[in-house]
Amino acid sequence: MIQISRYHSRSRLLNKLIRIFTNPVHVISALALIFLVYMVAFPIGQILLETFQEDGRGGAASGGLTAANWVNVLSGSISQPLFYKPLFHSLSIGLTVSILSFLLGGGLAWLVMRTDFRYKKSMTMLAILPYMLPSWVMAFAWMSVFKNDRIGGGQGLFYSVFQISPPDRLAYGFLPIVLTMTLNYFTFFFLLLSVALGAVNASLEESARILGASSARTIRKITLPLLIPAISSGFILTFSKALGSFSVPAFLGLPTKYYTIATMLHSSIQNRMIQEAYVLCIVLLMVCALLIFFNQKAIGKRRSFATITGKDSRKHLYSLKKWHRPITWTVLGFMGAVSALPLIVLTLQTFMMSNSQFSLDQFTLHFWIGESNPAIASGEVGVLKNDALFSAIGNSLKIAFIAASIAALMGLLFGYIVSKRRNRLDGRAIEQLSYLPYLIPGIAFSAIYLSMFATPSWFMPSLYGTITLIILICVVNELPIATRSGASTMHQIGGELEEAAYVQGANWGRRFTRIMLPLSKKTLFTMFLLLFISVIKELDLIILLITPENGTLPTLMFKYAESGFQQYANALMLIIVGIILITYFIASKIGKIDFTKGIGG
Amino acid sequence: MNKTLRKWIPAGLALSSLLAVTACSNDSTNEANAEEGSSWLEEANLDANETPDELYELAKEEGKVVVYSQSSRIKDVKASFEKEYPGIQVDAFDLGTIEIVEKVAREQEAGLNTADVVFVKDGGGVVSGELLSEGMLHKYAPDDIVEKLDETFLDEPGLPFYFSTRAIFMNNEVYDESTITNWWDLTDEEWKSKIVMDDPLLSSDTLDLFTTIVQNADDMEAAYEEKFGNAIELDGTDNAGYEFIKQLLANDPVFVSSGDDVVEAVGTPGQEKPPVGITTSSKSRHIEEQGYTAEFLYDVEPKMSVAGTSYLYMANNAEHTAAAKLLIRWMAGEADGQGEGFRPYNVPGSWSTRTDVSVEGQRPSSDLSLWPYDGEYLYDHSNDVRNFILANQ
Repeated sequence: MIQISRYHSRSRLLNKLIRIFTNPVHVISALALIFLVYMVAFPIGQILLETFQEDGRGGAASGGLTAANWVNVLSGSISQPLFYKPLFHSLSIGLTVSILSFLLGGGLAWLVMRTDFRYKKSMTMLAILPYMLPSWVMAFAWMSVFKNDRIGGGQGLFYSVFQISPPDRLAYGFLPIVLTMTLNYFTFFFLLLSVALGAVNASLEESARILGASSARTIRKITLPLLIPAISSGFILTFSKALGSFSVPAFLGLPTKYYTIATMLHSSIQNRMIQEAYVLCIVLLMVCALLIFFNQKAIGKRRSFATITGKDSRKHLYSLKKWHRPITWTVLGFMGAVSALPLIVLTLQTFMMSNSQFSLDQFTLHFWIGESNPAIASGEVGVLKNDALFSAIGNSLKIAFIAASIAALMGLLFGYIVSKRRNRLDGRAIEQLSYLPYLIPGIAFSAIYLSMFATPSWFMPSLYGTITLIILICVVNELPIATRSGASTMHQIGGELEEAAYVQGANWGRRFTRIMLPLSKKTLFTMFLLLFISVIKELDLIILLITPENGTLPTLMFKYAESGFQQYANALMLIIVGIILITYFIASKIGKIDFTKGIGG
Repeated sequence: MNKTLRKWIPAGLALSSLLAVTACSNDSTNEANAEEGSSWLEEANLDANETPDELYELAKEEGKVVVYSQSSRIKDVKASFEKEYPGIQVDAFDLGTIEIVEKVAREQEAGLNTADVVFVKDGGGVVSGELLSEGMLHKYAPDDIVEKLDETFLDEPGLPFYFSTRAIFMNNEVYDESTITNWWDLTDEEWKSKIVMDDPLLSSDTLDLFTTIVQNADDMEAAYEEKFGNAIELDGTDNAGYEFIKQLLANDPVFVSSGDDVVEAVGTPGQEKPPVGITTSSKSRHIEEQGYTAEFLYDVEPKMSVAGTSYLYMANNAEHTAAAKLLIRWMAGEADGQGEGFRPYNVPGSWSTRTDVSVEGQRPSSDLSLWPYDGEYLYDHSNDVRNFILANQ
């Protein structure tokens, strides 16, 4: 009673303020914004500022402000080859890869979630496998098949089988880039849509069928609209990954001088034309900011996508009937060929003395357990004998595990805010900001973090040289995936569940941990897995920040590759894949999660 | 996290917080650095000629030395150094040229002095243009080593230590050496779409070669006349160097993303008409191991190529000066050139800058005809050349 009277004695404004500041959603939203402004907006601001700095070369005084960098890129004499053509290439790659990934990932997700397809677990495994491999592996595999005589040094498998040189168009440039990237990145669509499809209440579809709608009409009018948040997230992630990817377009594009913005950006960085590099980087960021803006408009118009309503429903699985066998074998065969085959070839390579000849007399264990032999790879010992290996495994595990866990939770929280405050400024700002780190080139991002955290500032201790900073930058860099998948799940969870708990007197913390978290368990696991994979592969982003003591598996792999020790690098890659697989199994056992079943399954 | 890291974090923290208190803006931080630098310079006494034994005594108290290295072979140096000088730990960071420049510049701007020794090429002149010009690196070149240097390396900003070069590679199973004797041969119809090289837009070493060709346009002009018998006519370009690049690009060279791809393309045995390649001579190390049949050409007019020199520098305000001096001496091969520290770099495709060290089976460096590496010129002009390549590709 005393409390109530005190409440009434305060002015309305004050009450309103208190309500605003004690509302956990507001508090979290404010904290998230502060975090994102400092960790994302501030670095981007630095990049933007740099684009207006004068280049100090050729005796020109540096430090002045100028628009010359922008003018040079956008309308200079070389803006066609430097900017417009690569931009056009990048956009067409991004768009095509997104569409193809949607078809492939979505089709497979549908097959696994909504039909009586039998090998669901193996299918899921095969769909995640390509994402575990570094993206150049797929490009490398493509090249070994379709290489023609444009680059010398013998032709690929296609030629040896058909005795016809594949045309340049098939071997290099747009087509192979798009196809290999699709095989690498369709995993986003597959996982996001699997989760979303698992959550779609089949009774909605059944109602439509009962009312006489055809299958096609049901998919078009019921299923697809319900999947829109997941589709748009998948689209944004795939598009930006494709836009930012460097190694595939470099490997497959250079032979026919097919450049993208990412290769041009890399060129500017390699030649230390910082201002030009940063202009290109800002352009990439703007393209994606626009994309997400339209996406927000599209989603913002719709009222709700709640498909997780607390009521479970019987899952109706489409029967493949007589198509079962052909579909099974085609799909498993295709997926096996694209995911398992490159892995098998690389595995074999680590047991062959020469990396281009496969035969039994070339067999060796040297690259795994060999002692130093000056005749082989300048006396390099086998990877398992390398003293640095176990500390690298330890560091990689530590970084990937902590960063993925934090980022997954953070993504869920951010996604919660984004969905709760969909049409508010803070929700939009969080969505926009958390999405940008993907497109900041790793070296620029880490260089700015180096400066920000070299000395204590803004209540932050100096983190430079610690593993904490590496974890931090990985978390921030993974926010795009984390927030996108968090948001797409949160969009699906019906508000009435939380409201019911609210009415029962559950506070926010309880509501979040007892309702929202369990309902998004599968997303959380999916996110953790995706983040774990991408953090453990991270190289560019952290190379400036690591010290010799906290070297990771990719840094070790980079050293081998740089020395031209291909087999050692492959062996290390296999170790990474092995670690990911073990993590996958352990995590799914602990989390009792089966992808192939519905939510919470 | 291990002990050594813990040891230097407080040091960095203390110094950086001190700077944060005294300095309000970036500019004043730099000034503070410069002032401190001068007293450090006096104390470090980089002109002194201590013997290795004297340095070792001092270095033992420092206990460690931190080196930023562009080459992963630094781990062999670490092993041999720690064996020779017990009690001094080598912390070796293995980074690319651009990463080293970025890291050193950012650290020094923030007042952190993590690095002691920096081992790096001057790719595109960025090290001289951005680090040396700001006083972030210093030269340490003891007399007993300098007197062994080839005279072309005497007037350099750091201690030149070895070099490799971007050379023309040819399949020696199919072609004989007289096939290409002049850079202009590459513009012949015969080699249309048959030249494989690292993409000059992405490889700053390749761009350095082209920029040096532009710098030495006179040589290129003379070589043109030697090949064709008449004076060059420029087709809308500024000089014979640019003209060469234009004609080379018109010959549709194939760009790849790594030097390993170049030697593979050139040297894979059994090809009917293998391409020629342009990449770093240091790739010849792998040629035999991989079973390729390729070699690089020495006798090409007007010059074989440009020397891509690797330097050793002392970082400004280095905390372990004596150990750093000792490590630089060790890597440079010590006074007698027999030091174990140089061995990882004394390999085919690389040349010591010293007259008393050489690799068996390859021409001594004194017999190579190379353009000198002019970091300053490259820093100021490589952008123009890169833009020219973009416009003409």
